[in-house]
Amino acid sequence: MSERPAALAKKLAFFGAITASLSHELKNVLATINEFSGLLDDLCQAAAGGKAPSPERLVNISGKISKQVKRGETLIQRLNRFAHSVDEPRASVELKELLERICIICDRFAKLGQATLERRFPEGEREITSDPFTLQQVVYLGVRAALATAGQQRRITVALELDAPRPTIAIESADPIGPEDPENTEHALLRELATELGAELQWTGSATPARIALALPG
Amino acid sequence: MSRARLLLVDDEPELVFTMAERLELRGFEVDAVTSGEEALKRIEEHDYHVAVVDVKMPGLDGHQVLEQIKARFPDISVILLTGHGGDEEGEVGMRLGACAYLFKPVNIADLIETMRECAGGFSDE
Repeated sequence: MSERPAALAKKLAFFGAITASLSHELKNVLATINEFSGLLDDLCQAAAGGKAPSPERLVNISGKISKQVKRGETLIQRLNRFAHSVDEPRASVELKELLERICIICDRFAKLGQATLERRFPEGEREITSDPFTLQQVVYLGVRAALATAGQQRRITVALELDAPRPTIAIESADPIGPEDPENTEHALLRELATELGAELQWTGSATPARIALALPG
Repeated sequence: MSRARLLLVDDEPELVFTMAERLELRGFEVDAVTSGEEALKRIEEHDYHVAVVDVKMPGLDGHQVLEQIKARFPDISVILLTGHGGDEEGEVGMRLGACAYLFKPVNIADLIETMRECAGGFSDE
């Protein structure tokens, strides 16, 4: 069997990581609904034995099930939007909206790394023509680089800056971000993808705040 | 024969506390916690027959919790819960000393049967 081209393999790895994460969370939603459903069953059996639960208890459980269904629906929407981001290699991208979407996806990775992921977006929106999938991959890799060396503070911010001549996406950390290492495959990929996007990458990991900034074309 | 004492560990609070309530209704003594760190603290303070531990958690993950339990409290049987689609996470756990692994969502009857296979010698009455 022939090997996948390296560039495709790297994009597939990102696609796989995100879909695995979202589907894992979806399993938690289903598992929680499964427990509530089982509990209702248990309470029905207890009722048959003369120990009926209060209506308030049942309303409470039903409300929790509805909340999990809503959570599941949101996850599927995210998964679907993410899957469609590969449809067009060049598309009109609303930067703030795209960043919000990838940040929501990255929240789970931050949570697993016991960090918080904050956003700093300006009032306005900026539309550019770019590759939406690769843009999301760059943000994901930046967040991972920051998480890998997060220390005491564990507070990472994804920012959009529109006051510079070029729209800039920045990943900042309250802790230092490890120096860019060309031997690190994710660091190397981040730079490679930035070039692919026609963007300028600045890595100032020991500054305060530590920062990986991506100045996008126009 | 002593009454079964179980520790449930999962970072999904509604999942772990509801599962605990259902097991209590079946006669088990259950504690439920939402992190690996909390789990190890509880184990130092109380005796358990079985720990049911989610693999993917912030901080100490299920595999790390399993390793620490096996190193310090080898008599406790550990069953892992995995949200992974395949066997990989579970098989890693088996190599680390887990007694069994189950996929989420879990059927409570399967969980109880697995607990009995892992740590027989207890009663839920």
